[in-house]
Amino acid sequence: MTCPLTRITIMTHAGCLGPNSCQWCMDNIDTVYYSEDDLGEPYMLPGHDNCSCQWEKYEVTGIYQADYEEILRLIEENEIAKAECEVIIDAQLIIMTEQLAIAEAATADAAAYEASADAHYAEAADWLAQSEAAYATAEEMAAIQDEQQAIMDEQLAIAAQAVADAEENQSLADAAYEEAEDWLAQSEAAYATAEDMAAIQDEQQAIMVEQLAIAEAATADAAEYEASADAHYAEAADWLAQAEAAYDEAVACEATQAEMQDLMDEFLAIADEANAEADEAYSLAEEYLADAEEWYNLGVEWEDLGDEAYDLGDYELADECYEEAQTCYANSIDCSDQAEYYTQLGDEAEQIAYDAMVEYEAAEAIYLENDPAPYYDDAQTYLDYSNAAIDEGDADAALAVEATQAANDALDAFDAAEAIYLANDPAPFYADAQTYLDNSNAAIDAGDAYAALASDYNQAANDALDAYDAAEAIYLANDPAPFYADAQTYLDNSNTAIDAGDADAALAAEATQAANDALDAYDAAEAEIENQIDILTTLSQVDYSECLDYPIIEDLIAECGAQQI
Amino acid sequence: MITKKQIDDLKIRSDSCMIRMEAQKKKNAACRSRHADIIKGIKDRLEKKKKEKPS
Repeated sequence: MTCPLTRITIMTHAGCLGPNSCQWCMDNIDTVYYSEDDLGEPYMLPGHDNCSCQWEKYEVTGIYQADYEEILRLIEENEIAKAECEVIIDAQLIIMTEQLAIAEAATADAAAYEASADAHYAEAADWLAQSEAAYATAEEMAAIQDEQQAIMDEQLAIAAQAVADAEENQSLADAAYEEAEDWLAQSEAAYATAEDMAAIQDEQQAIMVEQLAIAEAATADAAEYEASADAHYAEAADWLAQAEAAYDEAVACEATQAEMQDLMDEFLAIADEANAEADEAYSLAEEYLADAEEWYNLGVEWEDLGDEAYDLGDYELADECYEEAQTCYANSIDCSDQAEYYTQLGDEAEQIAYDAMVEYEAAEAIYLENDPAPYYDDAQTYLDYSNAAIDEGDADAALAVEATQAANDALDAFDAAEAIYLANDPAPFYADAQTYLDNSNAAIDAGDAYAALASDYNQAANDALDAYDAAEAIYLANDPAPFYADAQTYLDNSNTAIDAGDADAALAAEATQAANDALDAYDAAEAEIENQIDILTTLSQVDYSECLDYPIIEDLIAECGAQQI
Repeated sequence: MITKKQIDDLKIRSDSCMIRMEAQKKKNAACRSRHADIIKGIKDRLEKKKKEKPS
């Protein structure tokens, strides 16, 4: 404990007062001053030799009256405080006991609430996992939808462009069709004019046709008569030609017969001659055969005679006879050869005669086939036919002349009608109508081309819309909304569980807080007890009694009459 | 027994026959050539006429 002591410096203006002292010094010598904190001298002392002024200083430690009284009060308060501390400590001990009980109960409640909160949080985590799974599926579907949406946008843009192109081409087609209608109207007007002229022409044409029919009929009659006449003349010529041909054929037959007759005579002569030669050859052959037989018989006789001579032993005669026999046999063979030769010669001549007769018969057949008499008869008949046809042709030629005159009269009437007909030629108007119609058709073709383009663009638009529909079908088939809804539901369930967990956690926190508060109160009470103990200790350690031993400064100042600097 | 007459008769007949055959040979030599020529001539004429005959 530090006493509130104060050190003051008391300074006395000491000097020697004398006659020579200055007034100022006389007024101030023995004046006492005091100051705290050694503020220095109150004023500069003059250096008068006569006054010998100097400052006499001494320090005093004391206590101001107020501090003194304060110390007294503090001592009293200290005692009171010690008593209060003890009271407070007792009260805080009670509080600590109560708060500890409260804290334990609240801690148990907090543990129960936390367990419940953990269960809710686990449930929330499960719901959250399901929500995330559903959300992931929804996101995948959303990605597919985005992809399909891009395709749909693209196809829709293509379709829109195609529709715009189709409309543009359809407009061009409509314009072309309107142009075609204008051309068609002009064509129809020209065609009507042409038709009027054509009606006039038809009227004249009827006259012309009628007269032409008359002329043609007459001409046809004339032609028919002329044709008939020509046919008769042709028939006459044909008959005449046939007559001439038949006559020529008859002459040719006669020539052939004459030729065949010569051949037949020749073949007959050859046959006769060959037969004669054959007879002669056969006659010679018979002669030679007779000779051969005779020589053979002679040979036999000579051989028999030789045998006989041999039997008789006349070998020389036998040899001679045998030689004769051999000669006879040889002659017989020679004669036989001759007979055979002439026989062959006769056969050959006979074959020639036969061949000649065969040829004779062939020539005779030709001769008989070429009898001219029927041809001469035919030639006369054909000549009669030809003369009759000439007479009929002359009659038809006279009728043809009459018909030709009638045809010429009808052609004059035809020419008159034709002049009117030609003056009303509708052809230029038909040509104009055709030109206008061609223009119309060209415009229609152009319209058709534009319409075809429009159709193509429409088809392209339809194709794009089909692609759009296909993408839309995929888009719709991948609607993430249910999954988002499920995800939201699961998330809501999770949040509900979290809320329940939070509620329990809040209760747990509240219970914990209550426990903490109780513990804080416990700690505070404990701290307060410690504080009070400290205070009590401090109070016990404070001893102001020694402070009461120092002099009171005011009393000192008053005693010495000092002035404060 | 063979008589000389038999032999002579045969010789006579043989000689006679020989004479006639020799004569025939001479005749034959001319006859053969003539007949052959005639036959050939007839044959040629026949062939020629066959060719001339109208069909």
